[in-house]
Amino acid sequence: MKPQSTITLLLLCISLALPSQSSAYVGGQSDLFYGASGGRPTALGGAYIALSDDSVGFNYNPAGIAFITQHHMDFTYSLRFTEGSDFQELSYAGPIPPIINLGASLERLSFGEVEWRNPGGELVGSYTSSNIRFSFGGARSFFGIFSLGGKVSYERFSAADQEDSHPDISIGFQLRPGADLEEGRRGNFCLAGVLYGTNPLQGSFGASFTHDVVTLSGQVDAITEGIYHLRFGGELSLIDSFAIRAGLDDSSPTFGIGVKAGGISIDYSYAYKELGTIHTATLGFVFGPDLTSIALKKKRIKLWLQEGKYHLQVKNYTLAIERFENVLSWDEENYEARELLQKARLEMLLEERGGLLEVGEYERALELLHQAKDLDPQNKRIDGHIEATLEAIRKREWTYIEQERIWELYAQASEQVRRLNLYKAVGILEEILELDPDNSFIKDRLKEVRLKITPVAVVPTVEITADIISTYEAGVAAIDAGRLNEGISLLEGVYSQVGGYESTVSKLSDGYFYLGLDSYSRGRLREAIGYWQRILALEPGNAQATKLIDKAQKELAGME
Amino acid sequence: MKSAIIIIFVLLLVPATIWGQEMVIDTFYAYPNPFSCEDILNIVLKFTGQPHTASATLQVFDQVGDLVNTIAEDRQVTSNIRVKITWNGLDENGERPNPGGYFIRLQIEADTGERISEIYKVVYLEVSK
Repeated sequence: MKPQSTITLLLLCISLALPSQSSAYVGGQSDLFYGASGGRPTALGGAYIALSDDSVGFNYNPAGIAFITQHHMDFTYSLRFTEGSDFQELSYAGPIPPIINLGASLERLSFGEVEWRNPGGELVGSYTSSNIRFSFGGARSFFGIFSLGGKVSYERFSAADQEDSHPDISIGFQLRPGADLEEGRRGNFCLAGVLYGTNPLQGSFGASFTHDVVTLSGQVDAITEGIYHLRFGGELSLIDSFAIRAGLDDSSPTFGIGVKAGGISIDYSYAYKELGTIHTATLGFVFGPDLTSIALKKKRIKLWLQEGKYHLQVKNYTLAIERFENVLSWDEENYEARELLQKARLEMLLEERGGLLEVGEYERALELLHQAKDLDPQNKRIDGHIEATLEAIRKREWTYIEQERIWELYAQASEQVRRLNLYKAVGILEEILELDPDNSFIKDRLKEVRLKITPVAVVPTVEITADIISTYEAGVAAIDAGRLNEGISLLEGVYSQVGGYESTVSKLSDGYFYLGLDSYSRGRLREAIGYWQRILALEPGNAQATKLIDKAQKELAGME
Repeated sequence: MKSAIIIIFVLLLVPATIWGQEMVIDTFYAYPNPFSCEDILNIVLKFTGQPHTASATLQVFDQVGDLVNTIAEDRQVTSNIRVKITWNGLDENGERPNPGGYFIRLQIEADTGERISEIYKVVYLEVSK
């Protein structure tokens, strides 16, 4: 038999041996201390044997302390019915791994000052009366879901010049399916039973159920044969640090609230009984390291790893990370958990990055990638993602600038069309297509504008009318006067009808030449080239135009 | 006019002095205190004021506030008359209670529904004093 089991059994045997030494209590009344401890238990109508997992619960059901993993200390003060009648308790429960969890409490039930009257009824003075009880016990869990606990108590009653004392015992169990799981996923159902007292042996049986923010508890105390005391309690805790409670202690309603923060808790209860009211307050402390048993830790670590791997596989990274972090909180050296945690974090960052890229949040995506890189500096895959994201950022910036430029040029081209500077418009539209070769809208516009310009190569044979002559003369005059656009527009009209009438071609070439020079001097190389190419269309052997086009194209190439 | 004032004076004064005197518990104690299983606990009570008669209920509660026994229920008592009621110290099941402090509550209720109550503390000892 293992030493731990031996100690547990020994404790229980001592407890069971005690009734034979006790004969003081022969009545059928309930334990005077029962249902007095703690602001939380009393607010729940005393239905606490299936909830007990703290030091105030030690006196309700010692088995409950088997599930605590830190040290608990509570001080309870209770005002009862009349002045001078109160209850005080100092209780402790804590884990002493790997053997057993221990609990102890010191309670004092004061009756206050009482009139002292002799058998003749005369008042001879006053005296005080109180019950003091010290309890000590332990509990141990088996398989992480079942616990067995016991306590021995020594109670001393004093009144006037009389004293009486006696030992007492209490043995209890709790069955909590799923209690071996981690916090938040623990079993939410508990069955419990307690035997206490001496002669006759009294007993309680209860159950509790917790779902999300609600806890319900109920129990029946079998005080003597045929007399039962029913207790019910409910607790609502919408936030971790605050709870409201209500209960029924047989037919007496109870209410209470509890607040806790940073290991300190305050619980208050109000009980309305037929005799009067009871106010109870408890100040509680939870302290020390988490000392969950090694066996339980190993079991949970194994479970967490399994669950974490599953969540990682189904890409539920948040839950996977939570599980691996749980493992590391108990086992910092767990290499597997560390590796898997890093992987889960990395995958989560990459997934998040993908989502950000979809909505164009490139900088945030890059930030995440750098975080991922910090996690795994050697990861070439992350380098690739960083490169791709940087490229996306560059492209986005370039695209933005390009669009702006296209719209600007298109506005210029439209203006030129409006002014009938069609060649200029063509040059601008061609420039746009160089920036955005697939722009079908611009292609269509270019086609339209080109259609407006009569192809120079096609010269229909028509009769030269007076109108044509006057148009020709006006065009030549405009060219000579430096109104190049006007002149070109008129002469192009003449050329489209009658071809090279008189000096139409040379004057047009002059116009194109000077417009090209003008564009060139303004740095609009493409536009200049466009004009000079018109010269070549009219006069394919024009050496000057060829030279200028060549020069402009070289400069353009140098700029690019 | 003079007679009207006298009538009003009488109407105001008489209820206050005769009919309107408040019901008060004048005497309430038990002996011997502390008492043991060998004793019979004597409980003495008296009330004053109006009405002339009322019903008295005596109940014993333990320190938890649970009812141990009802010693007397709706016993007719008369104003200004001392009454002694005894309790054999047993609970409702005829068994001895645990040694300790007990509250005895006296409730006096008039026909009008007016009710007054008082609590007296006694201690029960297992062993003889």
